[in-house]
Parts: sequence; structure tokens; C-alpha cells
Amino acid sequence: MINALYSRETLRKQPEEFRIGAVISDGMWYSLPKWRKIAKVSEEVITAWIDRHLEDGTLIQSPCGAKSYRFPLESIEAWYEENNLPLGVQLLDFMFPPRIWDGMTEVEGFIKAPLREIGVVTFLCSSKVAAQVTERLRGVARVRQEDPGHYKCYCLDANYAKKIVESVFAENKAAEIEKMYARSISRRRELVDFTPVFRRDLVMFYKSYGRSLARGSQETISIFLPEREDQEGQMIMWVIAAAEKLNQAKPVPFSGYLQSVLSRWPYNLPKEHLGDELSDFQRGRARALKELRKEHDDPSAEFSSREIAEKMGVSMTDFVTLEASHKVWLASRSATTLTWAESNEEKSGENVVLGLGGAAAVPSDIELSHRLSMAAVKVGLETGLYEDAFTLMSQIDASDINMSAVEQISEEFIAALGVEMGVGQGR
Amino acid sequence: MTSSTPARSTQAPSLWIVFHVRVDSHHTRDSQYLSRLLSERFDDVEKVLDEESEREIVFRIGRPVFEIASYMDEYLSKLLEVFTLTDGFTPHFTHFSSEVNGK
Repeated sequence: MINALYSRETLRKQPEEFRIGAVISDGMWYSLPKWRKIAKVSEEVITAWIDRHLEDGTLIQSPCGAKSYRFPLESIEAWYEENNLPLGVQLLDFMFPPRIWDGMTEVEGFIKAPLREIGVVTFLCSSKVAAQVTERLRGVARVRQEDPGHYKCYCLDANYAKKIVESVFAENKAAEIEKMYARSISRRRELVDFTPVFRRDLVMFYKSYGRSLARGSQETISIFLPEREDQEGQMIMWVIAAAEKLNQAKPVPFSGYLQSVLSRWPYNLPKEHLGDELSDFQRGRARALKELRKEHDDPSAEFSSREIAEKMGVSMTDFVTLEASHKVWLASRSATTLTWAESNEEKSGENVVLGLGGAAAVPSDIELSHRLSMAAVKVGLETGLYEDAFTLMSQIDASDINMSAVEQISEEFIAALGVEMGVGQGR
Repeated sequence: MTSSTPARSTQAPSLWIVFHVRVDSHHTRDSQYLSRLLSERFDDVEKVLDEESEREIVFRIGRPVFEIASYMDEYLSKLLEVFTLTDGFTPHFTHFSSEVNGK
């Protein structure tokens, strides 16, 4: 941090009393060992300081009994005044100034919006059924989509809400409903429980700071969210989710909790964007490639699909299938003409015959051509649309696609081919 | 695909299938295996490209002219069987007409 009044070195030259106050004056929770370590004072000195300030009420100890302490807003203001320092100045080059939003420290903002006991009903179903559930629960519970096809309803009485969800499920086809379970007691807060100014400043601060906390996961984030705007949007979602869950009764700073969850949540991105099977495949593929390169002592060596499949321990057929989906996903990341299926659940390409040519296709791709060839034969057998099958076969790997011939292929065949190729299918 | 080997002119409708041979495998042995596999199943089979340097072997096989369901099913089933048995060669249909080869 630039233009700070003290670095670790210069702070060490200040009186012990000042060092202790300088650390705790940011309003965050500090455990005794951490506080003592940063202030570089002996346990006797800091214990005496703590006893004195607890007695006059200017220091607060964690209500759960832990040896963790914080300054309330009044003590922060008093400390800055006593030391003739303007509140908000960058005091130390390794700590943020006190985060005071809407007349509250960050810790106080959370304490004034405590977690509340609520009921949660979790269910997995189609978006169509979820929309009906949401409508039926209006005024009773709030339904949110956590992941694609995965919903949670937050309410006061989980058993009551569960009955309503069950009634909607009963009216729909059983095939569309995968799972449901209820928790009678959970604890969380809503963002609206904070004051408007506090929640705005909290989110804005951590939108930026969260990026540095998630630095270790940046590579994963960039793969799935290449645009900066999308990354910021995702960070805001994570900050909100963490703010809704932080237990204000424990002496844990929000930044510490956020750092903890940001070490895990970004790794859900592959699952959210690709589904379990394809994200497992991508991870396994990357691991196999890394191991092969290590074995050959060549960090840039390329290996055939068969070699990678063997290393992964999967059959060539499975590998080819998932590899094609992987490539379709890679192409779709940079595509500008994505269309959304009516269900809004899945992005699909405009044309299922991706292996035939055009800007988005990879005509020279052996694996994709192989898979498309297999699919053409299979679909020809399944549908009995032989001429369509032969038309498609005649265009695979062609340097100059005969579009008028391709356009003659029936919609029925294209639809079946899409299913066979796994294009445009829900997860 | 590029090739110096001209395709044989044929009036009957055909399909061309390319098989990719691994660099570390025995090209001649693989070529013989593929020839036998196809010849056992199809009457009209012709090897149109077999160049070790390109690691590709291309076959032309005649395809049915008349759409008789039982015959078509048998033909496609045989194709599927070949594709499955030769999975390691990542076979796929290809374009191998006389026009492509400048004829």
C-alpha cells in the first residue's frame, strides 16, 4: 500500500502502547497471539493493555469467550483523535484503514444484521417445475437457483414449504423431479438485513479486495469467465453469498471467512459451466497430459488422443465423445452467435453439424470427424433415413462443403444427430 | 486431404473412409489388417491411398444403390462394426472424388 504512515519497520520503532492501538484500531477481530505478533510486544504488556481497556469499556472481547478482541467505532475514533491522526488515513502499509460504513465498523454491521434461523427446502428439478414452485410459494418462501437445476427455498417453516413443493411435484411428471430434502433449521441473513449504505459499501469494497483473495484460483476463474465484467459479477455473487452466511457471533473477520470460501468456491465453476462429467474429463485430461510430458521430460510435447485416453484409463470411445464436447465448449466460449434453448437451461449452437465446416467448425479435426462419422451411421440405422445419412457421410472432411446438399438433410435426422452428438441436450 | 494417388473413377456410388495409422505402429501390418477387415464385409472394396509417410490409409467401398431397408440396415451395421473394430485408427468418412484429385 502506498503513502502509508508506517511500515512494519517504522512501526516497530514506535512506543509499545501506540503499536498495540495501531493494530486494533482497524475495528477487526484479533486473537491475542495474532495481535501480539503484529504489534511485536510481550504477552505481559498486551495483557495489561487489554485488562485496562476491558475495564473502561473501550475494548470488546468476543462474546463466545475466545481471547479475541476488537475496538468499537467510538474507541477507534477516540484512538485516532488521541494520536492526532485523521480517521481514514492509511496508517500501516500492511493493513486497510478502519472500514466504517454507514456509521458502523464492518464487524458492527454484521452484528446489527444477525443470522436468523430459517427453514430450507432443497430440490432438483427442471426450470419449468421450479417456476411453478416459486409461484406457489410466493409470500411464503423465497426460491433461488443455486446451480443449474438445483434450487433452494428459504422460509420460516421447512415442513410447511416442503408440502407445497411436494404438491407441485405431484402435479408434474415424476421424471422431471430428481431429488428433494428439507432442513428445518438453518441460519443465514439476507442482504436486505444490512442498511442500504452498509451493504453497498461492503460489496463494493470486497468486489475489489476479493480478487486478491482469490488470486490462487484466478487461472480457473479466467478459463470459465474470460471477461473481466463476468469475473467481477461472479465475485459480487460470492461476496453476497459469504455475507449471507458469516456467523457474526464468532470472532472471525469477514475478510478471513471470504478468503476461506474463495479457496473453494471457484472450483465449482467447472461443474457449473460444464457439468460433472465434462469437468471431470477436463481435469483428468489435463492431469494425464501433465504426467505424459513429465514422463517424456518434454513440457511442450503433444500426445495423441489414444495415448492420453490410455493414460486416463478411459476407453477411446468415451474419450472421443467427451473430447468432442470439450471442443464444442471451447468453440462456444468465443462464439458470438449462441442461441438459448426455450428452457433457458442450456446454450446450444445454431447448427448441430459442427464437423462439416464453417467458421465455428474444425473440419480437419480427426476426432470430431470420427465421432460425426459414427453418429451418421448410427442415426441412419436408428431412423431409417438412409439418404440423409449418406448425404452427411459424403460431406464429412470435405474441403468444400456442399451446403445445398446439407440443407436437404431432414430435420428429423438433424434432431437425432444432435441427440447422438450430445449437442443441445440438457445436463 | 491431399494425395498424389489418383482415385479410380467409378460410376457406382461410393463412400471413402480414411484410417489414421499411429506413428509407432507397423504400417504394412495395419494396412493388411484393414484391407482384410473391409474385404470380409463388403464386396466392392478398393484401397485408394496407402502412403506410410502420410500415416493415412483410405479405402473406397461401394454403397447400395437401391434403398431396400433390410439391405441398408445390413450395410450400415457392417459399417458400424468396422468403425468399432478399428476405433484405434479413428476412422472417418472423407471426400475423395476425382475432382478433389484434379482429374
